Amino acid sequence: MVITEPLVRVEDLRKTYRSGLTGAKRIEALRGVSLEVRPGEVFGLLGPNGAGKTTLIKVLLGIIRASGGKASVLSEPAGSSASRRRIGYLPENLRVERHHTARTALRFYGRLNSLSGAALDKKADELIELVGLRGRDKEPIKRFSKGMNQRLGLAQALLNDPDLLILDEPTDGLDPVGRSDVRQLLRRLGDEGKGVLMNSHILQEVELVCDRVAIMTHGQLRSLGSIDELTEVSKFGTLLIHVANAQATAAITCLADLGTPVLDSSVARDQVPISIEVHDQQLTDRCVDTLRAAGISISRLEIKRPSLEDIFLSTVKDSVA
Amino acid sequence: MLPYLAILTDSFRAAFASRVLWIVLASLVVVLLALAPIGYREVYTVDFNGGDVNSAERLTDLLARSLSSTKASAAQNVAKALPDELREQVIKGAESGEQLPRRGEYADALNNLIKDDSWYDADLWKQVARFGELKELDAQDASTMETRLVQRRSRLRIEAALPGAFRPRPERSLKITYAVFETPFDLPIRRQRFVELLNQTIFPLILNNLFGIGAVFVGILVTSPIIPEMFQPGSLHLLLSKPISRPALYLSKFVGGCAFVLLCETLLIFGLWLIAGFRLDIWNHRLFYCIPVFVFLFAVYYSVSALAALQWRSPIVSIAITVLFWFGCFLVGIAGGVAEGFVTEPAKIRSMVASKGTVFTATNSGNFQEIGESDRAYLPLITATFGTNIRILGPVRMLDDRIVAAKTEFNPFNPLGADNAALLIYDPQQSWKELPGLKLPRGTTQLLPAPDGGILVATNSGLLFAPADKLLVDATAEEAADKPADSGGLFSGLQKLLTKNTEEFTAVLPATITLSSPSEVVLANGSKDLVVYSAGTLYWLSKDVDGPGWSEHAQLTSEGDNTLETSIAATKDAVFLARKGEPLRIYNSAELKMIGEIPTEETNSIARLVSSPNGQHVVAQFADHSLALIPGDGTASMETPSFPRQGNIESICFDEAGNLWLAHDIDRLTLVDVSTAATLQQRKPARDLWRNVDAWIIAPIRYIVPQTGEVSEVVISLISGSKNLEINIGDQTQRVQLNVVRPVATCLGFTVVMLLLGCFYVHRQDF
Repeated sequence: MVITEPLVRVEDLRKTYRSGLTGAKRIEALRGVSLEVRPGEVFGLLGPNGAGKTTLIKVLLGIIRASGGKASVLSEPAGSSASRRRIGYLPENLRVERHHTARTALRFYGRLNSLSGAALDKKADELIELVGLRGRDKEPIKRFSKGMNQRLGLAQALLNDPDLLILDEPTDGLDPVGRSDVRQLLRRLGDEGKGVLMNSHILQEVELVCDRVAIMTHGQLRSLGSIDELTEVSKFGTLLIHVANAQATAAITCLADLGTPVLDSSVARDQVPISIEVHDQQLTDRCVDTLRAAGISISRLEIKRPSLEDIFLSTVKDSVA
Repeated sequence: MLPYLAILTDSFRAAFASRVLWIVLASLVVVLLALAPIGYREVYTVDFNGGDVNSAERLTDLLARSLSSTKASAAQNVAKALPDELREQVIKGAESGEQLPRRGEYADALNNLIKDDSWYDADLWKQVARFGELKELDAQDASTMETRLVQRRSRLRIEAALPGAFRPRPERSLKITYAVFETPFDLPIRRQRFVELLNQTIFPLILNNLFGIGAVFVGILVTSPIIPEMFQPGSLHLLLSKPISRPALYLSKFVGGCAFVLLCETLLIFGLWLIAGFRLDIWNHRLFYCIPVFVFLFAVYYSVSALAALQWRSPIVSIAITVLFWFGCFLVGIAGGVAEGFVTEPAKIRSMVASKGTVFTATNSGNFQEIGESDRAYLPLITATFGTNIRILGPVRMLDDRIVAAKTEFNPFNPLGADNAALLIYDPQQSWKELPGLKLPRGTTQLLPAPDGGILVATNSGLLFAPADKLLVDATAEEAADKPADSGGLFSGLQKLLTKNTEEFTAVLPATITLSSPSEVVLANGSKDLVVYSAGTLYWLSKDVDGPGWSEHAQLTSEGDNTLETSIAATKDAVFLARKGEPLRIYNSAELKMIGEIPTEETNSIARLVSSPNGQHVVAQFADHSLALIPGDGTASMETPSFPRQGNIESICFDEAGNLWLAHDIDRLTLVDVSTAATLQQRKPARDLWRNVDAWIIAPIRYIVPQTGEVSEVVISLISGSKNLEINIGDQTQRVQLNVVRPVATCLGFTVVMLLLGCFYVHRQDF
């Protein structure tokens, strides 16, 4: 079945936690969040601690109820049994009861998804193979490392062949090979038309695997888009002009009229980089023209784009301000 | 259902993975191994013990008379074979009436005779009444008999030689064995009674202590982390993300938590069942009914633990709250027990009689009281003070409508009846004023009105009659009677002891008939005849035309166990005999031939039979406090009438018109027409302060707070299959109605409320 509707649709979602005897103490965890996760998309949810990411996931899974707004998952109300049947979820710090082995745990979670019999056993076999637990599947879980637990968690999330996978820190505890495997798996799921909503603090992972990213702070959505969109719309753009050390002072003088050139004096070589903020191609051209007109030789020229981390930090910094 | 079954089976898997479970299971196996060598062996009842001697006075009397007699007799042979010292003691005791040989001394001496029967003379024993078993043994060749059987025969010969001196004991006794060891003494109880004892006492005791307390406590310790662990974020969020209902998840976890107790119980009860079956030959499948009961009991406490875990998510807090809850239940149970023991049970009506519209009732506590048609409360006639053990003999209505009763001090260790009791007479002509009556013979066990007026008194050895006009005494005459009559002679002391102040009473039974426990004397209503049951023998006695006595008209010795608790009733046409655990048997009045049999439930025996004054009906009062009607003409049929408060009836009596008074709900009275079951009158006496406290405070609390302590009664009821617990105190059987409904209802209601609260919490809560 090809799904064309957004897998997750959130509109003006709000969640207020109340505490205290009379419920007078209020914490607004979500303040009007709106977003969509589309089929075939790996969607990253970023934000500092307390940004509301986990709250958003809990609302989508029905673990908590929204205070306002709308949330639907797979065209069903968020938290409904019908939607949960088609979701695979890997929680952060997965805790499987210690009397299980990987195989019995998969059987248990499979049955919770109403799977049974040979179909469940076959699926468990496949997933054990997929997550690299072959040979360790009959070992008590209490002997498992965090990485192995995480692999098991991924396997259980995939048991019901979900249309939407919600992963909370999926690569946490995994070794580089494991991370790479997970990335490939997520990519493949995306290619199969399934949706992945992942929440991670490892921004490089998100940058590598996610099609789109949402950055949240203080319960609000600050940025939303693909990595390229997020970095392109940025006001940042740093032009690095490498010139001969002897011409560095002259180059800075020339560029002073066009911006605020900065000499990276930490580099003690023949060629030194001078950085200047540029906003568009016209300004870049003028920088080059000015230096060439002054007879300064440019040995290397590059435009440094902001990373996702830069964007994230900047967004967080702005929200705090 | 599959997801919830998965949670359940996972709970079992978790339980099996728990070391604590295996430790507990291993401990239970040790307990079972310790119990496994227990067994028993049936042996012939041979040795006497002190309790077998019915009356030391009567035995001394019989022995002393035989010794003084010049005519050879079986009793004389026995007396002569006694050790010299004891023989002298018998003679001295008979002379002085004091320092009679103790029953234990008699038992020791007679046991020596059993081992050597050189005192036996076949010719002399032909003169004594020998019952079935002895006749059979006498007919056997001694050389082919095993030693114990020969000794059994000797015992029966001694009993036959000294009639009325011993209590009947079952043919076979039990020796309890443990592996190769066995008790040095015999337990003089029938196997049936032994089984009852196990089912009513031993098994419930083991199970209630191990499971009602032990397993519940260990279970709570072990299962208290289940719900808090479920609330660990990495565990709970994953479970909640699955397509399952939250309340069902909680309930599945709850039921799964009971797996621990279920496994322990199954092992122990299965083990007990096997031990009881293989070692004691008691294959009581009812033991298995206890498994759900104890799981249910655990569930009551676990519902509290689970709800506390939902709120606080800490095993320690859950355990602490569960212990507090247990303590609360314990306190309420104690309060209820105190109220029952000191307020309601003592106020229950034990016996009653009606005359001229006034009902006289005797309570369990020994209070004697009356209530007239227009009275709103009982008028106390005799008030038992706290700490005394007063019992009221009677009351009975005499032919002249006077009411006769007697106050006795009941001593469970001296079940020989009243001592120094005097008749109390209430005359309607004098506004029921209490009048002092004759002192009763020693050992009086029963009062009944004589058909021609006067009173009949059954003692532990015979039946005596006092005419109506001699019943009253005045204080002066009483004082004079109290002065010791010193006539001297061999039997003067004993005579004084046996007949002190009872000169107005005349023995009315033929010399061949003695009353031995279990015994009962009843009037054959509709005639002037008497029916006597004594230790298995039934006598129909017709009134002598020219004297106060009765003559034997027919006799029947019952087959089977003559120690069984028995009740009889009689009409002019038939005698109704109900022995515990046996069907109700009906005999004709002419020859005491059995004319019918009515089967009764094994677990609900007939406690009492009462015939109506005109002999048209016989009412059977069952152990479960319900009534049934039997036609007085001897037709073998029984119907359950729609009397009010069936199952709650404490006592019954007929009034002069043949209507039936029912005492029910502690001390309320209802008069019903026996034929139509229509209610004719009701009396609801006002309660005193403590009864009101019980009715309005304690009883309602006991219906709110789960009565976990009373679950032990459910266990007794399930294992024994009976609705009543029978406690034998001396010769009396006290029936305690087992409360099955209240503990089940209160525990079930409470658990359901706790679980609903838990379900509501998990349904509404954000996690």
